Amino acid sequence: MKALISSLLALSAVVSPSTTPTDQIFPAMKDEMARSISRLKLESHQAPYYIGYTVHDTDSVSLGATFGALTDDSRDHGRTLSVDVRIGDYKLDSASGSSEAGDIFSSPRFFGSSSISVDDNYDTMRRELWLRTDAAYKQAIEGLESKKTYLKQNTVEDRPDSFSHETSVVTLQPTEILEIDTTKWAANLRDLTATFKSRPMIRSSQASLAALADNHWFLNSEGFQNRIGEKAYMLTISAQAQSADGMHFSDQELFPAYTEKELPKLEELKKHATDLCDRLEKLASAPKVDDYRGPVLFEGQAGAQLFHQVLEPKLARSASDMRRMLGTDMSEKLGQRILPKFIDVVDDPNAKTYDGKPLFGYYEVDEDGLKGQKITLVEKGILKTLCMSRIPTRTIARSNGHGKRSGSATSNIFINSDHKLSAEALKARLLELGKEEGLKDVYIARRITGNASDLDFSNLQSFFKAFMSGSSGVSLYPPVLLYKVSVADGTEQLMRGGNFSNISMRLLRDIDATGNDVKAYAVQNSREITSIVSPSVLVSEVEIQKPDKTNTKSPILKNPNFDK
Amino acid sequence: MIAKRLCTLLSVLGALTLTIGPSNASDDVVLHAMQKELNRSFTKLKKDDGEANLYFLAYRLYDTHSIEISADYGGLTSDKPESHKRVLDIEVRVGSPKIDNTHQTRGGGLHSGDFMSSRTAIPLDDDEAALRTTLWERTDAAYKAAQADYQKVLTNRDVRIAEEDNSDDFSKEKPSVYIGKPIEMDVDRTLWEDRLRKLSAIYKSYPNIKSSMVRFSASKTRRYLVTSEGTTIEDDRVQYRIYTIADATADDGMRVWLYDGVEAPTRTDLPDQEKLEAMVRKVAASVEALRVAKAAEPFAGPAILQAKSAGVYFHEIFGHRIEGHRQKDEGEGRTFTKLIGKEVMPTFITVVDDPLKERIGNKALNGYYLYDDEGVPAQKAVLVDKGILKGYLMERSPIKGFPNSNGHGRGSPGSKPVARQANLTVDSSKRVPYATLREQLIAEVKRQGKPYGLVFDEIAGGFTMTQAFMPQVFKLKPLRVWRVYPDGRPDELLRGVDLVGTPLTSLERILGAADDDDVFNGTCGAESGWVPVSAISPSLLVQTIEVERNIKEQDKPPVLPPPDRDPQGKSGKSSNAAETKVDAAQNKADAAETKTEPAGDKKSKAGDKKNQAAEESK
Repeated sequence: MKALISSLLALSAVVSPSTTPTDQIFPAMKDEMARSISRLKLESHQAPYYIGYTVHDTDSVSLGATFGALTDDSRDHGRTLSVDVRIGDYKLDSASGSSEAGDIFSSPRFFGSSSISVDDNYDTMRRELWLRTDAAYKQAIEGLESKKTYLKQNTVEDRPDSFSHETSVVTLQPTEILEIDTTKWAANLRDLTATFKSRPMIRSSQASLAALADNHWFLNSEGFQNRIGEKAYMLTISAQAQSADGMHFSDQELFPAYTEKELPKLEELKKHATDLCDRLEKLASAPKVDDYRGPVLFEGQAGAQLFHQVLEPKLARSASDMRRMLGTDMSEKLGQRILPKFIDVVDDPNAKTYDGKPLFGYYEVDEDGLKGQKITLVEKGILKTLCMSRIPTRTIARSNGHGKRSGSATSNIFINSDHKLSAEALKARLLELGKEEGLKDVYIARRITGNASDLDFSNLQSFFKAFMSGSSGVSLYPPVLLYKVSVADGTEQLMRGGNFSNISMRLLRDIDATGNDVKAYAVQNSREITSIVSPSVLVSEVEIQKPDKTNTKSPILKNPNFDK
Repeated sequence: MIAKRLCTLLSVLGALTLTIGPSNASDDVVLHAMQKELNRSFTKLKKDDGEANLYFLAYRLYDTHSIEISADYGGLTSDKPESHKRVLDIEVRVGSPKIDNTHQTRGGGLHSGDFMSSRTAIPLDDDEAALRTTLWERTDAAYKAAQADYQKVLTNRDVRIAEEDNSDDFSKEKPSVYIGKPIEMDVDRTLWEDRLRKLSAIYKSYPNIKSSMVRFSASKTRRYLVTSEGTTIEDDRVQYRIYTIADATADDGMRVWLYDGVEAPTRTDLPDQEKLEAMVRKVAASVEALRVAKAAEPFAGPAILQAKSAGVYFHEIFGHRIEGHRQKDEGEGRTFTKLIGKEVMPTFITVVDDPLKERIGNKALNGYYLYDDEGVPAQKAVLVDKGILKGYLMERSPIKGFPNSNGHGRGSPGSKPVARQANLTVDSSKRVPYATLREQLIAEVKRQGKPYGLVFDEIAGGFTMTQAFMPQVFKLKPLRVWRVYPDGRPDELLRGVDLVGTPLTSLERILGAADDDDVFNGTCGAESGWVPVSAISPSLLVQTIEVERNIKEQDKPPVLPPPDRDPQGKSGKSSNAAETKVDAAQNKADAAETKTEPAGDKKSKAGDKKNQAAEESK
């Protein structure tokens, strides 16, 4: 989630002086760029063919509480500058190369960003731009040389261009100001976490609220000019419990919002906290799961997480230039079937809501300054294209407005299915598959851990064990709510401690049917929140691994507040 | 928008201000919560069967409010309100004072980490239930780690030969009870922001300075310490700091830089704006001078370490090697371990470390405190008396012949305290005026038949390696070094000098001292984190000092001149095909936005002058 724009008329003249400050950033950028593009040149080396400047002004508030008391109350306001200087040409340029040969295949050394003055001060801004441009130019010279050396020693078939040609975009939005009533929210978080005081089974619990206003300025030598203002809020409630045999359980609930008003009310949050505690308490006394291989129904949030964790990472691309030349990514697999025929996958950064609920992957322009485009990634199960930035692949030459996080990223993902069953029919189909396999029980996953940070240390260990048992570089975090279902009569029993193992892309092709319960879910994509609109999914074969035998012991003493 | 942003920030600040100040009543909640949980844990964990005996438990909680303002070239670089943080350290000792879980395991045995500590946040509110919950979680983790460590210690002792020093692991000390007077931190944020903008803008008149910064910080730390022995300490420490740093690139690519700053315990100890401006100007001018100075060459010969440099020199080559715990750590070089009663430096030199000394003249000392982080009252430690080694800096880890602490156990919030320097003071019974010392240097140059001698007048700090597997050497980072010629030629500034040597020989070669004692206030980093320290010394004449050329960076100076000194590029008005293209698109863009005039050099300078005048008239 990044953008919040109250109206799409950003280019119009509605920009009032009260919301848009006297902008010293663009004048300084323009002046330094003009001078650099014409005169920045070292003898015996080329002058830059491209310069791009990005300034981010980020104002954020972070609040946290546990057990009725505040643990975090901080505010941060800073600015960063990234300078992208490229020498060479669109076909072969200096970007992402490096001076050390050993670095070539490691993660991309992006041009990086440095913190700059928060004052709207032309002189300070110019000076930062000057020094960063100079450093980036020198790095570009080394980058291009190392690429040329590599190409002298290696042959690279059908080498893709370094940078795509695009038409310039100018979008000027008003800047956003962070709005947050910290006193009220501090009180809310205290109140919310105080509810855990009546829960001796819950070992620890937290609630936090992060609020952010991010304004960014982008200018490049091709005529792109963007000023984008965005706001984001995120409230999180999490809790951890431990069963008598020492097994850890943790879960969290995310409440993203574009405005402070859209955040849930305290009473609603308390209800969620209660549900969270109930869930963890039930889990702590549930029986342990056994090794299993067979059909699994991923219901609701679990279905969305399945697509988010297994499919989504494959639909976007890392920024590394040299790795791309090795031809190992999904762009080489266009035209291949990766899902059953009845599923289409669409990515639409322009969508703001689904079924009246906000979508958090919305943006107007991407980090390259291009308009986000709605694209069909998978059609009738066949991979058609990928989310693209301005870094071309052998098979895709142009950006589709998905340049994010130094590479490309998904925005709002829509899973569209032609084979939709009602909840009853889906469960019946699950039992039928179980019967065919001669199984006594099958499984339904109703909730899957959404993020590694939710995992406790010991959970993380067993997750890695299960992950290492597979080999495909695809993973699925452990289920939180996993139910064993009797094939004979359909009765359900909550189980604990399972891990998915041997997860691969194959899982997606084994999708048997989907539900008719399409809903929007917020998911954590790196450090940002995006959305996925997905139905429940029935997969014909999934492996579940039983929990580890070793666990850290419970605390020796009771929580002092329950030690009466 | 600026106005609006300021308003929101001010309201946040307002809210925060309510929680600081000397409110003893609410703070007692913290101390009481700590005492209650400590008593419960100590009593109940003791009874756990089959485990090693819990004999000592301590909670240290540090509550810190801090403000940091930085500026660069006339603009503020961050905009953060005051921050409030709490850090907790739990010390658990199981076994017995003779041998416990903290005993050093030889052969690289790592002590168990407390991985829970990163997950349980510490409440900032003075809320007993929440504080005790955190203390309980952390105590449990620390206790389990201590049990695991203790088993390792016992196993390690069984498989290794006896240690050279079989002193106890923990000394017996009388419990201390001390509730200090609350101290207020008093920062006028707007005033300091304004000051920093002005100070950092001074660098605008020095064209060869590449990057520069001025930073002001203030912090107030309230320390709560309770132990199972009955020690109870609650006190405040306030620290103000302002410093500037600037660098430049010499024509051969070498980066030269200088630093200057002031650390002070009260606001009134801080220099006024006029003095601060002079400090910044001096740094700027000195960096410019250094940039064009001669590059150093390897050299060994006589030198004067001016007072502050001499303090740093002693801190590195002597102070770190005299820390008690290093004397029994078999992984350490233990340079001075067996030299008690022996002559380790000229008989006119005496060295003490006295944390109880608050000031020298009107200069506040950074290493001043009443109780160390183990709750032991600070004591003056005599280290060298008339050249003879007399003692060490001691924490509660005894060593052969020294069974007790002398109140030097310190650490940064959250770190296990170890023996650290406080106010290291070098005294000489043989003193001459500085001018005479300089004459003595020239005489020594002639006597040794050297082409020149050296004078070190600025040192940024240094590092020293005390571990046995590293060479027992030190390296100091002198910023300004002068060549002094015996034939009366003017002194010559050098750049790129590194000072190298081995500790014992350096100390034996001190020839004399001046009468110009000065204080180096700084922050010293070691295994227990960063602690404030002072080093006090007169200028010293040393028979032989060895210097080498430092590694130079290869960066060329910037290709284009600084934007404000570029006659052609002031507002990008040069003609170029690429630029025309840019301008076309930009003109279109500008139509939609409120266009502002680029703040010209003249305008901002005029503004500065006006502000300066206003400042002066106050």
